[in-house]
Parts: sequence; structure tokens; C-alpha cells
Amino acid sequence: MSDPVIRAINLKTYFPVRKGLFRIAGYVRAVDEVSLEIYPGETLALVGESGCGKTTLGKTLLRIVEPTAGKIFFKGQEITNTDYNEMKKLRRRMAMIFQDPYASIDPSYSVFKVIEEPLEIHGIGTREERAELVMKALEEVRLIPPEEFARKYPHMLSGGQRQRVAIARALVLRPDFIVADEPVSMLDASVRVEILLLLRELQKKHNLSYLYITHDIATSKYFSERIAVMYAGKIIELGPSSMLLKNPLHPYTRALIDAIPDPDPSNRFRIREVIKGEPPDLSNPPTGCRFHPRCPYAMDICKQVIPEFKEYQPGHLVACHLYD
Amino acid sequence: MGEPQVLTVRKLFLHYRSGGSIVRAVDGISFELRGKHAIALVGESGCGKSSTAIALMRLLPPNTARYEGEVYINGMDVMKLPEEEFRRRIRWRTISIVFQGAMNALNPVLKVGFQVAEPLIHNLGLKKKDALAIAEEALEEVGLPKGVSERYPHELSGGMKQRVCIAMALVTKPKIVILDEPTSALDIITQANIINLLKQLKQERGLSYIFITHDLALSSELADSVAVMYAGKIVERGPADDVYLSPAHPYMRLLLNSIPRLRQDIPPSFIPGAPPDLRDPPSGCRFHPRCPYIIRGKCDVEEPPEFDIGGGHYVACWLHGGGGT
Ligand SMILES: Nc1ncnc2c1ncn2[C@@H]1O[C@H](COP(=O)(O)OP(=O)(O)OP(=O)(O)O)[C@@H](O)[C@H]1O
Ligand SMILES: Nc1ncnc2c1ncn2[C@@H]1O[C@H](COP(=O)(O)OP(=O)(O)OP(=O)(O)O)[C@@H](O)[C@H]1O
Ligand code: SF4
Ligand SMILES: [Mg+2]
Ligand SMILES: [Mg+2]
Repeated sequence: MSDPVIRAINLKTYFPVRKGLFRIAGYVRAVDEVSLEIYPGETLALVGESGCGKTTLGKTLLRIVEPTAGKIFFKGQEITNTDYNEMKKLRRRMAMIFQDPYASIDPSYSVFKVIEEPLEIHGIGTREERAELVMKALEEVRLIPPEEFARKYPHMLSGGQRQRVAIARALVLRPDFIVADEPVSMLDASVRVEILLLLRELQKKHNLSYLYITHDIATSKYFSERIAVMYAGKIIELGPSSMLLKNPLHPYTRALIDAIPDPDPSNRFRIREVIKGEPPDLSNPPTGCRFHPRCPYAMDICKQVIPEFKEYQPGHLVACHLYD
Repeated sequence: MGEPQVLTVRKLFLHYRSGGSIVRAVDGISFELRGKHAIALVGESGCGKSSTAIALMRLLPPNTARYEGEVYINGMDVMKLPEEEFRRRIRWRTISIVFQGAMNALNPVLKVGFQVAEPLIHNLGLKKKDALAIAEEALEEVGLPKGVSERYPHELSGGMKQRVCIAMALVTKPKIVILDEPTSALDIITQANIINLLKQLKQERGLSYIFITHDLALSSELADSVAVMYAGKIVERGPADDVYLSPAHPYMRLLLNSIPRLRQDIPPSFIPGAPPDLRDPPSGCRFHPRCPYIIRGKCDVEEPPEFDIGGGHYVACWLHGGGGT
């Protein structure tokens, strides 16, 4: 296999919980000892419940949020402590797409300006050259005719079109790695598929790597090579998408998958087996395996010892004492 | 089968004024709901699902331009009732609703017990003490721990807040409950727990639901029958087995194809184009600009009526009658 585009080793991102102005009362352990790699041209889906640390992990990989400990490598180069100027140069080659196209686009900017801005920030090209790059980017995301869309403002666009603008903005610098944070979760089913297929097509064309953050495991089945499952700040299972979905190992992964309906009229006759409880408070996570209070298979050891994240089958890793 | 119809809707319209034009949000829809059954009302964002809900509850915004049709509840056309009587006999008491986004609209400064009791006090005229006691029971029935009634919304998780909203819709003991996207802001596991609760309540209380969702996979969790809405119209309706397994309208077929399936290997595809502007919907069949099966000179000119294709399955599409293929 080729070298990874992104590699994280024992990455931690803790947020201080302040009491009063200065006293730090503890830490929200949003990302805790995460190790992963993402390879050229691949999509790694990152799934898990709200608040488990997905966005924080994505932002930490891009150093939008600073890691507390651990190491990050971008194309073999360690970037954990890279200084501001050097990081700015590297940022050209990484980008992020957010869930809410309204929030990530300045409403007073025209579409042209939205896409041109990153080029300006990085001092790329003359005005004419930039205009040409913007038009090309618009064509790539199929906002056609580009001249017409360039003149519009975000409020004049549909949700799907706004997300295309966000993609064009992310792509205009020709990055190698993109964190797509719930890029389609606010869109209708059909538009979701349309945007995900577009992202896939652009990936093939430019050999892009994606971290695809989502709640929607069914889309990750069709739009990712591998899936990482996150629970309470930790990756608890990771493997090739089809293998992980056919043969989920971790009890949490199983619970997640069992909770997902397909459109099937026989669903109405069954009460689903669902785990109870809620994900833990990350400033005071459970000891041992963080899932143990909700786990139907919890053993004594689960309460005491943090399970190691290790390979169960080639490429399929799990952190659970059932596989010790 | 067996159960009589509790709700029959005929040619219901709800149009809004917007700027200088008219938004045809609900444009002459008809459907039925049997006792102890659930009908799923599905369709993409903006097709008129919530508007249908507020039309049935008669909670109209001030810019309403047209509101008419027939709505029979247990055989009586409640559209003919004056507001005062509708408020006393129908709204909340016979038909109630969990509004879209309700869990984020709970009053932050009121204890949840009081909020659940409010419909009893305001709409049914109960004394506060009695209402609070009933609210307490309702909160327990939706699976919340004792003592929740004394807490404030911000102290509860999303799933718990949604249970509070369900308790609020049940506290007046209605027979029909409209559930407008009751799980859309929740995580998948919480969603599954809420759906289990709704199934159980339906069974135990003999409730009928109008289950509104844009999520076709989720809709199948509750639906005994399905109504598919597109651009203000119901384009297909029928028993769940027929509509999910043999969809007849091109829109429903394509929409089902866009759902990524977890337990089957069928790569999802999308429907080219976008739903129309309800201020100026297309002529003829409203789906014709996006339809791959369009019969030119017919679909783009004449509006298809509902064709009866047997077993209570209706489709508004020229392919199923009137000289189609
Ligand atoms: N800047 C911050 N300061 C303090 N705590 C934060 C900060 N950002 C996130 N957190 C906390 O870190 C945890 C993880 O948050 P994060 O946004 O990464 O989760 P997520 O998995 O992306 O959730 P969602 O699915 O809701 O987007 C949460 O408990 C959150 O409240
Ligand atoms: N009070 C109003 N005044 C004017 N137009 C409205 C009003 N409420 C809704 N609309 C419009 O009516 C149409 C139908 O809206 P409605 O909220 O019923 O759709 P929906 O199917 O519930 O959508 P969603 O899935 O997004 O909740 C939309 O075009 C909407 O913009
Ligand atoms: S009536 Fe015509 S345009 Fe409309 S769905 Fe049927 S075939 Fe397509
Ligand atoms: Mg997030
Ligand atoms: Mg709605």
C-alpha cells in the first residue's frame, strides 16, 4: 500500500472545563488516544453518535483545533508542531466542508467571491487567472453556466447548490485531503445521493482522500472504502466498509447497525432490540471500556481495563475485551 | 382491515399568500385513516407535509389564502364546525400533534410537568392540580423516570425532551395523533427507542397516527399505509406492502431508489432536477419535468386524476390509466 496522506498516532484533543475565570476544573476528552491512517484516493467514513468527537477529530487532523498530545503526519511529514507560516502553506493541500452550507458561506459574498477567496488568501494567480480557476471549479461541480452562478448570492441557491459551492471552494486549491463534516445531512435523500456521487467523481479525477463524517451509516456503505466507529472520544472499531457492516465486532457497532431501518413494510411488526442509555459525559467518562455501562455483554474486566485497539482480522480492528 | 375509518380527507386545500403570489402548499389532497392504523405522509422538503398537519389541526397562519375541503372525523365533517366548537371537541381532544421541532420549542423557564399539563388547563379547562396529576401519569407512560415533571428542559437529553413532547400530545387522550418528524433531530439509537415507544403506545391505546417524515426508511417503521406527497399533491397512496414493495408512481419508484439500503446491495441513484416552486407549479402532472416516462402531449398538459389500481392503492399518473401504456 502507498504511504498514507494522513496519519494520526495516539491523538488527544482535550478541552478545558473552566470554573470561574481561571480555574480549570477538568477536561472534555473529545478525542482520546486515536490512531488512524487515510490513504490516497480513499474515503474513510467516521460514524458515531452526536457529541462523540467526530468534528473535533476532523478539525484536529487539519490543525484547525490544536491537539493536546499525539502526532499528526501529512504525507509523511510531521505537522503536529508546525508553525503558523509553514502550516498556512500546507493548508492549501487540505480543506474542510461543513454540514451547514449557510454557516460556512458568508451571505454577503457572491458565489464568485466565495470560491475566489481561498485563492486570494494564498496569493495565487492574477485576477484573470483566478477568475478562470473559479469558472473551472464551478463547471466541475456542475453549476452551469458558471458565469451565471458566479453572479448569484447564497440565498438564491437551493441547499444542494449551496453545498456544490462549498465543494468548489474546497477544491479550488487542489487539495489532497478533505474533511467532509456531515456534508449532506441537511439535504433531501435524492440530493444527498447526487452530492455524494459528485464527491466520488471528483475524488477519482483528482485522487483525493476524504474523511467523511456522518451519522448515516447506510451512505457510508456505498460511499466509503473503510469505516471508523467512534464512541465517547475513541475509535472502537475500524475496517473495510463491507466487512465491518457484514460482520460488526464491537457491541456498540452492532447496536448502531441494528437501529438503522431500511424501507421495509415488515418493520412495523417488530419492536427493535435497542440498547438503552445515553453516551457518557466526556469530562468524566466511565472507567475501563467507555461503553460498559450500556453494553449487554459487559464483564468485570470491562469496568476496569481499557480494551486495546487491535487487529482482529487483517485490516479490521476492534477495541473490546470480547476479542482478547 | 376490520377497523372503521376515523379520518377521511377529501379535496383539502391550504394556500398561503406570499409577496404577490400564492403558495399552493396543500392542493386538493384526499386520503383515509383507519382506527388503530398509521398512515405515513412522506415526501421531500417543502412538499406540503407540515401544511397538511396544520390544516387538519386548523392552526392556520394569518397569511392563509385558501382553506377548504372536507375532513370527516368519525363520520362528521369537522370543517363545518365553528372555531369555538372545533376547539372544544376536536383540536387536542380528538386529534393532536407533536409539532416538527417541538423539542426545541419547549419553554426553557417552565418545568416540564407544567408544560405537559398546559393543554389540559387551556384547552380542556381542568384545574391546575388535576392537570398536573394527569401530566405526571403521561410522563411516566412515555418512559420518563419519576421526578422529571419537576425538571426544566435544559436538564434533559434530546430523547427525553422528545418524550415530553409526545406526552404533551397524549395528555388530552386523543384518538388520532399527528407526528411531524418526531425523531429527525435525534441520534439513530435514540430514534429507535422513540419509535419503539410510539409502536407500543399505538398498540396499548389503540391510537391512529399520521406519521410525517421525509425519511422513507423510517416511515416503514410505523406505516400501515403510505401517502406520497409531491408539490402539494398526493401522487400515490395505498397499503404499506404495496407502496414500498411495488411502488406505482415514477416519483415514488425513483425516490425509493435514492435510499441507500443497508441490508441489500443496491447502489442508490438520484432524481435529476429539483421539486418545483409551489407558487408556480408545472402544468399537467407536477412531476412531468423530471419524469423519465413522460407521455408528451398528455402528462405536460393534463393533470392526472387518481387511478384506482386495486386493493386500496391509488396513483395519480397517466401511465396507470386514461390511454397510458
Ligand atoms: N471548542 C470546544 N470547547 C469545549 N468543548 C468542546 C469544543 N468543541 C467540542 N466540544 C465538546 O467535545 C465533545 C465532542 O464534540 P464534537 O463536536 O467533536 O462531536 P461530534 O461527534 O462532531 O458531534 P455531532 O455529531 O453532534 O456533530 C462534545 O462534548 C462537545 O461538547
Ligand atoms: N406560513 C407560510 N407562508 C408562506 N409559505 C409557507 C408557509 N408555511 C410553509 N410555506 C411554504 O409552503 C410549502 C410547504 O411547506 P411545508 O412546511 O408544509 O413543507 P414540508 O413538506 O413540511 O417540508 P419539510 O420537510 O421541510 O418540513 C413550502 O414551499 C413552504 O416554503
Ligand atoms: S403522469 Fe406522466 S409525468 Fe407524471 S409521473 Fe406519470 S408518467 Fe411521469
Ligand atoms: Mg460534528
Ligand atoms: Mg415540515
